[in-house]
Amino acid sequence: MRKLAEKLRVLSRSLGVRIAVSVGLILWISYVVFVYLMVDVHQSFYFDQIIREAERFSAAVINATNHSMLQDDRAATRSIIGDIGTHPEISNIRVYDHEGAIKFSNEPAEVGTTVDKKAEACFACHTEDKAFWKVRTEKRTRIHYHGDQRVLGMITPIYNKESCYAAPCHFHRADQKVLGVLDMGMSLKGFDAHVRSLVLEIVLLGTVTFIAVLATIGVYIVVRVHRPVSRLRDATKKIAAGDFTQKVVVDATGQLGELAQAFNVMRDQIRRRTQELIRSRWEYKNLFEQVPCFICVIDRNFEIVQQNSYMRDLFKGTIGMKCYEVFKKRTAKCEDCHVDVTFDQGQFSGKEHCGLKVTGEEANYLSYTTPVVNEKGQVLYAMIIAVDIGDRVRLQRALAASEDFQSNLIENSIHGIVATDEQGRVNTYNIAAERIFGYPARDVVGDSDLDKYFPKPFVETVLASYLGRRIDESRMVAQETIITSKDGETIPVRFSGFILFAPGKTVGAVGFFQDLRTFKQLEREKLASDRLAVVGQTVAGLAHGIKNILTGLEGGVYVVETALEDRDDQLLQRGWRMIHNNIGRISVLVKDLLGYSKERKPEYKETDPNLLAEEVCALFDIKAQEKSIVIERDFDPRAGKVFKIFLDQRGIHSCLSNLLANAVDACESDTGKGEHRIIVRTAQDEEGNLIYEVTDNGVGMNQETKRRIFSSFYSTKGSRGTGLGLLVTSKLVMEHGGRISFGSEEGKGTTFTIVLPPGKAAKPVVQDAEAGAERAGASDNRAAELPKPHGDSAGS
Amino acid sequence: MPKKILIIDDEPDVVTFLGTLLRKNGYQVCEACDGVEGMKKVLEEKPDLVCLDLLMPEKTGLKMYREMRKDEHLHGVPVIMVTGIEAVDPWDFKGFKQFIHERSIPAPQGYIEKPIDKDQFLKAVREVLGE
Repeated sequence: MRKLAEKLRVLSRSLGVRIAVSVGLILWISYVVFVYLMVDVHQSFYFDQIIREAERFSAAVINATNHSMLQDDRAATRSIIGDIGTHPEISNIRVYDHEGAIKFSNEPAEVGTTVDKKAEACFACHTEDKAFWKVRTEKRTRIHYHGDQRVLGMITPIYNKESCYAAPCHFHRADQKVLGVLDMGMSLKGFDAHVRSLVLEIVLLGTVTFIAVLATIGVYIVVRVHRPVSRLRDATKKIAAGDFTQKVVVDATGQLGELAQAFNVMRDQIRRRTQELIRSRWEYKNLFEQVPCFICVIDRNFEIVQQNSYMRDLFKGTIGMKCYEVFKKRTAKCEDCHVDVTFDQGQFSGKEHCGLKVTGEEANYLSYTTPVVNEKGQVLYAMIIAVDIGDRVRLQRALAASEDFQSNLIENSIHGIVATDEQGRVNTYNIAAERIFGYPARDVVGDSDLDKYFPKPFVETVLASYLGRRIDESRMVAQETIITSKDGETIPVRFSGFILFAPGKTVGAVGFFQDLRTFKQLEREKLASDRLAVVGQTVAGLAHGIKNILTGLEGGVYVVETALEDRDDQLLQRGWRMIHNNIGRISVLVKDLLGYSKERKPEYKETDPNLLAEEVCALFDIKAQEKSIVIERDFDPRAGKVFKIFLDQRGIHSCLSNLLANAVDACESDTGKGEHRIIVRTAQDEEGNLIYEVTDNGVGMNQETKRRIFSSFYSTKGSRGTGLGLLVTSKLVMEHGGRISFGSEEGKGTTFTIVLPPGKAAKPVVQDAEAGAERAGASDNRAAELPKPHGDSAGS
Repeated sequence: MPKKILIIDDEPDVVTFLGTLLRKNGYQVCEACDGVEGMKKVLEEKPDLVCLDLLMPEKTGLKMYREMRKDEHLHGVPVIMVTGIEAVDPWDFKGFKQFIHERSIPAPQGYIEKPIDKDQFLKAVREVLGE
């Protein structure tokens, strides 16, 4: 019973059923109406027919009886009436007279009885006191029951005719309109039966057709509507339940087919969209949870309603806590809260923050808030996404610190630093560089004319490197060079330059400039002060030397006096010689001193070196001969011929004299050998340098002598030597731009060598002769040497 | 008997001068021009006084002095130092003094500065010789 009810309920929802039912209902109603109408029409028609028939029949009967009536042949009339009455269709037939008495009837028993005018049958005409003499047919007919039959009764008035009242019987008066009525009752049995059968037929037909139509409609509906609709409904239900697998198969071309197709398409799309949605949801959820950013959603009270695992782990806040509690460990809203913007204006807002992590560490993050709105556009929540920029902040700080440090370093460096960028333009130019070059920084930065700053060889190297050419030496280290400042001043600097590389390319070049002006200045000052010191020493030494000389002079004078007293000629000679010598020594001393202390400018003249040497040798020849020393000349005839040589003649003369004098003294001091020889050599090498060499086979030098030979006032000659000789010589040589060196072996002999450049213009840098001389110490053949000035060509 | 005085100096002028001076004043003079020779002469001549020039090449003067003082025979021989004061050379008077002080060498009997004053010299000689 339940099942049935269930089924009924289901069915009752079916569209098809409903259509069917509705259609059926309408159809049925239509049919019923139609049938009814049909029947009615038929019935009326038929009824009319019957009435007509009755009329006619009545008229016929009246006509039929007319004659007999006129004849007053009652028997004939009765017989006619009776005959007619036997007709199966006539149920009764009577004639009433105008009084209502039945005159004639097919039931003879009725004859003579009277009916009330008020009786139903009479009513039509006798409604009022005065009877109508013409009444419409309908009113004259009535249906009544005769026994168990339905009868159509018709009253037909028999109208008075002339023939009637003029008949011989003189029954009726002439003023009588109606003589009587004929009341005929026609059996409606046939009619009824006919009608009934008709109705039946019609109803049957109707029902059948109704059923047929209904069935057809039903089938059609079922097939074309119910089933597809059911399928659609089922499919839709399935989709609603999330099952997208069922495809609706509707084999129709019409609207339902289209619907089904559209439905399938829709299903597909829904399926796809749903899948996308699901995937998006999943992705979103994944993103929300797994992304290494803090994401939380807060409501308008700033309470956290949702957060992702990253945030939970880092800040350990829980749902319900306030965002400022969790992020910033505050008890009240932050003054610079930017979520307000989102809540109030529904806008996106971003800001950098510094909060506190659970570990107590500083947390730097960038937070973005977006509004979460409902359909009405009201902002219900704000989503906060915060990206940890701690690393970035740390890096920024480190970078800033590093850059600060670097620029501090560069700016405060005492060396000038000039560096170029990748395009070869100056991008670094510190204060020290400004001091050296004189160009203000704003003029220099961006300048690509590197010749102004860097030495030419380096500029060439840099350019080559930028152009991608392979270079052998990408650095210059500690080269002394000259730069020209903005004012045209030449400034000595020590330059180191490096090319900066990144993988595959040149990214710049940097030069370090050490201002040597002070250095040079110091050098000069030192030299000057050394000279002063020398002068100071000189004064002291002078005293010493002079004392000796004075002693000699005084002694000489005494000896002469004594000799004169004693008339001792020999003694006189000796005494005089003493005086003579000492006077000579004074002049030597003074000359030496002056020679050393004065900064004499060399005068370079084209010289024949051999000639000069010969002059000096000649000077000493006599003295040497006295001491049995031979001075040999070994002059290179090409010297001064192949390459011209420019010498400071006076200076070189002094030097050679000094060397020769030393050689003579050395031979003199040497008691080991019998024969003493001094060889003076000249030569010129391939570069045009002139070489003088003085070799003796005298006493030679010991270690100490070698060490101290070039230091001032070191003399091996005891109180005779001023100690200045070699010093002056070396100074002269260096001023010349040359070198002096020696080699010696104790007991064997000594060789001094002077190398002089061909004679360029005076070198701008004068080095410390003393310092050079000190270096000449420890071993043989050590040259008392200047470091060559750099940047200039060779040849010294 | 005239006293013998040994003059040791690398400067021949000084030797000539002092020699002449001493001879003129009745002394006998022998000469040496460096410490090495001087040593020889001391042993040979056995002078009564030695005049020693400190400032000589190879420091022979100093060496000789030291030797003399070490030698048992010679250490009693009086010595007069002839020297320049405040010379620049490290082997100067002060250096010498330090030297002998460090090595506990007895100081010489007299010092004579250059330039040599005749009278001062003679006076010193006479003093040392006890005249």
